[in-house]
Amino acid sequence: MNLAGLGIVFPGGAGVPALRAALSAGRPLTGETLAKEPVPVLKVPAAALTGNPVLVPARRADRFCKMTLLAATEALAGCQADPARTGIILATAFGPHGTVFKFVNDLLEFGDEQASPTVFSQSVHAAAASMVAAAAHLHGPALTVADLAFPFEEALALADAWLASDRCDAVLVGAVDETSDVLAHVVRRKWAVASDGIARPAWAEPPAYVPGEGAVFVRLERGNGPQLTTTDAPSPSAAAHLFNAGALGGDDATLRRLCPPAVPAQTFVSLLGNTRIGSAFHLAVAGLMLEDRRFFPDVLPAGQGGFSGGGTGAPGGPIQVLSACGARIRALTLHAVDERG
Amino acid sequence: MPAAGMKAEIAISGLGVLSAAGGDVAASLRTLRAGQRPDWIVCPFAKLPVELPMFAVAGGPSVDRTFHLAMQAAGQALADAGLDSLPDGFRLGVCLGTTVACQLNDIPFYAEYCATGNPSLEPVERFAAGSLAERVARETRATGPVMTVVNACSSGTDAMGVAMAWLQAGLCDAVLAGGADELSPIPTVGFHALGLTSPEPCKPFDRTRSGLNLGEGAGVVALERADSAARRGRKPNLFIAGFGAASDGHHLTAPHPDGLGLELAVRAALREAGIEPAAVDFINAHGTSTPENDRIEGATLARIFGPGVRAISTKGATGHTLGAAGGIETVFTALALCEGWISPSIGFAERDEAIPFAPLTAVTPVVRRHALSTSLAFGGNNAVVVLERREDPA
Repeated sequence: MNLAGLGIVFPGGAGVPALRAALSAGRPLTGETLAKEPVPVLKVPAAALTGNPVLVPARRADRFCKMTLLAATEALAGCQADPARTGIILATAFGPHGTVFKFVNDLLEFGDEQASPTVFSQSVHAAAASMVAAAAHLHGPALTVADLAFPFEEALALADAWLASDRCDAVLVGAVDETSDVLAHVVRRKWAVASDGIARPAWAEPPAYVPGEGAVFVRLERGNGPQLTTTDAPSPSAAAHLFNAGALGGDDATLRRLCPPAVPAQTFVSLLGNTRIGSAFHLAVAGLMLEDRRFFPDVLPAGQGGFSGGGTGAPGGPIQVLSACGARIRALTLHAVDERG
Repeated sequence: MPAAGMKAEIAISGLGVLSAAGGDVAASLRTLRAGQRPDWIVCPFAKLPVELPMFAVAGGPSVDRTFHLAMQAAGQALADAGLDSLPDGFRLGVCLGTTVACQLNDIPFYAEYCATGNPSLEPVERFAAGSLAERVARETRATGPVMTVVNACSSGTDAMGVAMAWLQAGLCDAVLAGGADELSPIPTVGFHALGLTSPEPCKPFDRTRSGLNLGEGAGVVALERADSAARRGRKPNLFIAGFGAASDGHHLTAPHPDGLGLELAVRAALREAGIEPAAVDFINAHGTSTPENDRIEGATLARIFGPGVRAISTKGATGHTLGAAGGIETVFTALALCEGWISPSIGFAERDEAIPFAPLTAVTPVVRRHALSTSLAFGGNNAVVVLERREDPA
């Protein structure tokens, strides 16, 4: 399937140019410590979620909806497909849990009878995808899925099936998750948090987490252009591997074992924070690597984020994004159309 | 594999269901045929100025209840399909809908977090053990694709569409598809805040309907590629022939006033099944008993199928089971085709002139081969399945 569009909101800002700038800078982002929890988090900057006319339909919505709408709208730009045949699949691990806890908080503080119908509506996982459909007047299928292992990869495989079976002509596939005080608390209790605010994979010294957030959408269509395939095995012929390392609940040891010494590999977890949507973020990075026909510099010191100085394969060659959960592996391979033969 | 351009036929190899209407297929059939509302309870957990009727499943644990409900229905479906023990190399997928099990919304956990800053992480560990579909896949040793659909009230039906796509793409041999949800304070209070709950037992499509009752349960079907079923020596005569899903693209909580998304979904499902509206015997409608849903759904179905459309809602027997509804109602629709009779629409008494048809109120023979089950959801998601019974087994 053809990766025809890309949209992103991440702790470095909103939009593909912001991602390109962060990658080119080659520096990690530093999380800010929450007021309520002694935990650094990488949050999407407030300025990225205000003032954009795209957000008018979401002016009363929560940040999960706003991140979703911004990224999805960017990925949809230039789409020529029939709105009735344009689908949406939003993958998440934790959903709009900040809003869920706000709803619970209101019940505890003010009582059941004072529950807000607006907050309840936004706490429903499917609200964000519905907002995209309403804002863009899309009438194809809109699906929200919530899993912990490989929600984005499963969503991509389903989009492939929708396109192959002619159910849709274009599918927006996104991964969205947000941080919250409660999530930061859980991360602090279950894992080590980074004292310097820099998110790292589990193999770094010292291993430390910085919860992150963001939204990444790709628009998939049939036809020419960069081709995306999903498999459950790494490919040694990739020009570079991007490791979705430092995923909350992921398995970095499995990823590390996959990496033959000669294969260039990098992780950019320090630009997103530790999340369950890192594979989508790294796919966005792969998209820019392919489009720009270059590798980006490591953002962490040698041995922490990269293994071979940012890649020694041919720029413009296939890029593979690898994720692990337990012993299981999922791979997303992105390659230019002329390399498929 | 089917020839290029041909879609694989998807058989319904097994059924599993539990709800207030009964703990399995046989008990559910007895309740549906009797046409009498099962026992219901008064909402035990919300502090509201009204007493809300609810439809509960008897017994079972209070902790991890949605998973327990899902496993019961999945076990029934696997046994019915002869898949209690999976053959070597058999790829089973799991796609389940839910609304409650996807949220870490444990009220005692959050209250303790606010009060002490150091809550027990036991609810978090339970959540982190996996999504509903991931946990059911682990328990059933499924090795195919896994997905938890969280599309609000259409989740169970949407799961059928995902399963069909997987099977037609050859990603697996069979799929446990459906949904499960338990009664929970959060949706209870939320639906009440939205003004959608009724203080009396629900009356889908009735002139005096005043809202929905929440329920709990699970409905799971074992969908299987017909070629896989044949290899196992099975001769299915029930098939899932079409699926359609569409967005209203209109509003977060209100359905499109003209039922746009529902009509698109119905027509897509009929197109995939290769049939015209006249070929449909009956529709197991979403029929929540809210004034808006039933009026718009009723008008839309009558526009497509004509005012003589034969429709029912089974929510009078189960309550609105949210993410489970599509799974339970697909099972009930399949049972009607198998048994050859349509159950009465429990709770209906008075015709609403704003709705062009009245639902069936007596046990009615099935006379055609196809039936539909529809689901409409929060956010304007609409999903429809077409089931088919063949007299001559494939």
